[in-house]
Amino acid sequence: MKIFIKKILLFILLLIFLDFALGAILHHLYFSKKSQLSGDNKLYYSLNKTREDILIFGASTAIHGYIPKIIEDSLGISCYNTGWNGTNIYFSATILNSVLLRYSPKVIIFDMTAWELVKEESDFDKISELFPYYYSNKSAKEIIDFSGKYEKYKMLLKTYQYNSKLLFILTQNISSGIIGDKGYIPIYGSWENNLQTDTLSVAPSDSIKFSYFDKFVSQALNKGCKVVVVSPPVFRQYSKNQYSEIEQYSRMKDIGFWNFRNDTSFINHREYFYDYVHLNNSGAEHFTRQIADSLRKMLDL
Amino acid sequence: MLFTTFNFIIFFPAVIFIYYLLPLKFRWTFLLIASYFFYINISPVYALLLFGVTITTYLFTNLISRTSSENKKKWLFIADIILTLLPLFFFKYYNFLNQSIIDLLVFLNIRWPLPNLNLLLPVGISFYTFMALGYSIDVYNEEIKPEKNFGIVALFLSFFPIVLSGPIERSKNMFHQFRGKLEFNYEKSVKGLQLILWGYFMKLVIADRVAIYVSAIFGNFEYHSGVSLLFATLLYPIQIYCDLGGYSLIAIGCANVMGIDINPNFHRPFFSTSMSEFWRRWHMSLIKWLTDYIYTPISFSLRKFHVWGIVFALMLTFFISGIWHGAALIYIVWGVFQGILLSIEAITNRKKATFLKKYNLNSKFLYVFFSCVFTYILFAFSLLIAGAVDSISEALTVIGKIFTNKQSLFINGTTLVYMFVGIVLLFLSELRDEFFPEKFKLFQNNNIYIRWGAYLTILFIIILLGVFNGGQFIYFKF
Repeated sequence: MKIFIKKILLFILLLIFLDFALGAILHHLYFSKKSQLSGDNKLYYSLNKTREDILIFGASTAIHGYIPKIIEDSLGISCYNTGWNGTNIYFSATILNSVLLRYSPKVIIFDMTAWELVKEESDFDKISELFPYYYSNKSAKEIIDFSGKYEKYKMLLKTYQYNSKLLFILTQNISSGIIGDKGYIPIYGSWENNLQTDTLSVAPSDSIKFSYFDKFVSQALNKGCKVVVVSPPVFRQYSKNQYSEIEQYSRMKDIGFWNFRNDTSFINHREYFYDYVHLNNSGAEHFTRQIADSLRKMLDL
Repeated sequence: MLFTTFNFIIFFPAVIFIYYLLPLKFRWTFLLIASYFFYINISPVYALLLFGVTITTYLFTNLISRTSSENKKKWLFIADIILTLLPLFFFKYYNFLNQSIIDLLVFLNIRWPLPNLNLLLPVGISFYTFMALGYSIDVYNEEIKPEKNFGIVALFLSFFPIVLSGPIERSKNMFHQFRGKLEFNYEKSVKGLQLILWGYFMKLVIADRVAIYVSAIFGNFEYHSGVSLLFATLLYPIQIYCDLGGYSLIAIGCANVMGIDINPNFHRPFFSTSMSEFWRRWHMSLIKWLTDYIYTPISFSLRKFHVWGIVFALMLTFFISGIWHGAALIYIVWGVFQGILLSIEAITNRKKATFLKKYNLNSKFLYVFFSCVFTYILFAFSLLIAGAVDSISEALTVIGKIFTNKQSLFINGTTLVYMFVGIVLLFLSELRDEFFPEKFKLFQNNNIYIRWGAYLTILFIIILLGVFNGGQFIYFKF
């Protein structure tokens, strides 16, 4: 028994040492200069470097839907797309918190699906993307701690902060190619299925998610930003208004709500879609021009 | 408190610490308290149900053994079986049966408005019910004497490593261990920790990673290409194997650390060259239970019908296996399908054996390889109707798309790469265990540096590549 306990303790000591050493190497590689310069490490850029006038927030429909270059060329002011696949309001609010600590953008665009504020099991899945920033970013630490009561203990493991980041670290340090254009990532190919009709009502909002959304909007407004909520185009016809709550909230807060649901300039054009949710590059160009026009009117440019 | 939660990482070492501090005679009592604490932590109300099944089993097994009249014994046994099965039936099968009757009556234009019940299935009920039934049957058949100590029976049915998802243990294997000296055993403890480590690797690195891809495909199967659906279909058995297989290894490992032996649940199933061999390697504790208490008695009583008696026994056994897995038509169809495959093998067994012997095929690599692949594909497609999708019509749609839709594969780069790393490591490990058990030893290597290097490598692979928000074990729903 004594030998067993001794070996267990020795193993734990070795584990702590190796975790510390490996964690330090991973930290170095993750935050290496090359990694920061790459367009694919947009998370680092979004949290720590953005100075653009217009910032776009959201998930995959944001990444593949908004082309900052078109907005910049059209309006003459800078723009960046901070969208991140599979994320939700918790993630966007964390990025915005960090941004607002540094400066106040002129416009915040929040691209949100109808189910954005509905509670889901996977709500905190993508918070793991923020793990490497746990000790360096207050907002990231807050949301990670909030995502699970034991997360702060798990974060004591240095290597755990780089869970599921190995491939990213390897590719960033091997290839020098910049992926994406100011956060926008194009997708190519057209949707082949026919237009379908959705008759579902959206489930009630989760109070915690809604409070994060409210905080997101209020903080931006308090810092003097203009806020626009966008319901992105989808290749599906909706018989019910799934955005009534957001519409009501937008009126109350006097913020913009631009709804592209059932917009005939999209649902009559299957060729604009990669799948029924995501715009392809040509659809993104068409959509971003419409967004740029609306922004011009809103900003009186 | 699931094995993959932080709570368990605290709970288990704490249990071990106190367990070995206590004098030998108090250890089983402590295990009983810890087991109920574990179960109450997951499902407080349903712990009463577990307790109820325990009381029923304890009382009836003791009554049966004290009764001399065969007739009275038989009725006590029947009452025991009914009372033990009642909670399982009520929670798992009531809605299914009720809905089936309503559907039938609607078909006959009769309205019978009995409402469905909205109840959560008590976790582990299928497992501990089968363990209780097995014990009762053994006592009735006089293969084991009834346990006089209620605490031992309670511990057997609630033992925390196995109460949620098995392996489905037998009283014959467990009672004497609980009654005996639960002493520390160095080799067994080390072996247990190795199993726990590998179990977590299977669950967190492979099962939960594969689940991300498979769920993305089957969750929206109507929008995915044939090749993506085929790929997900072929991945799903690996997900289930690593899910339940991983769980089983953690369970067995935990028990080993406490000096208790648990029977294995899997034996490298994907190296099976036939379905009958596959079912001797897959979920072995369930199959052994079904074989001992259903297949063997029936095939023995029908022995005058020769192979057709075996066919009937196989069909009934796998029909029950289907029902055990879930209260839905899809599971029954799945069970019947397995029964048909095994029946075909039983009918052709003699001719096949002669053929294999004549051409010495069992020693030929290509034959073994293609037999393994064929068995795997058969099992993978059968799983389409047992959990991968929600209904038989959806399964048929998926199969139709696999053969007709020519669009490209859905690529989720990160998930595929991490999944591939895990699967390759698992495959190499199983290949070694199957064909070169004495070579390339890592966990069993005599050199401490290699052994510890292997432990640390797997541990860091788990930390770096594991999915830590993957949710429940698949078999919890059974």
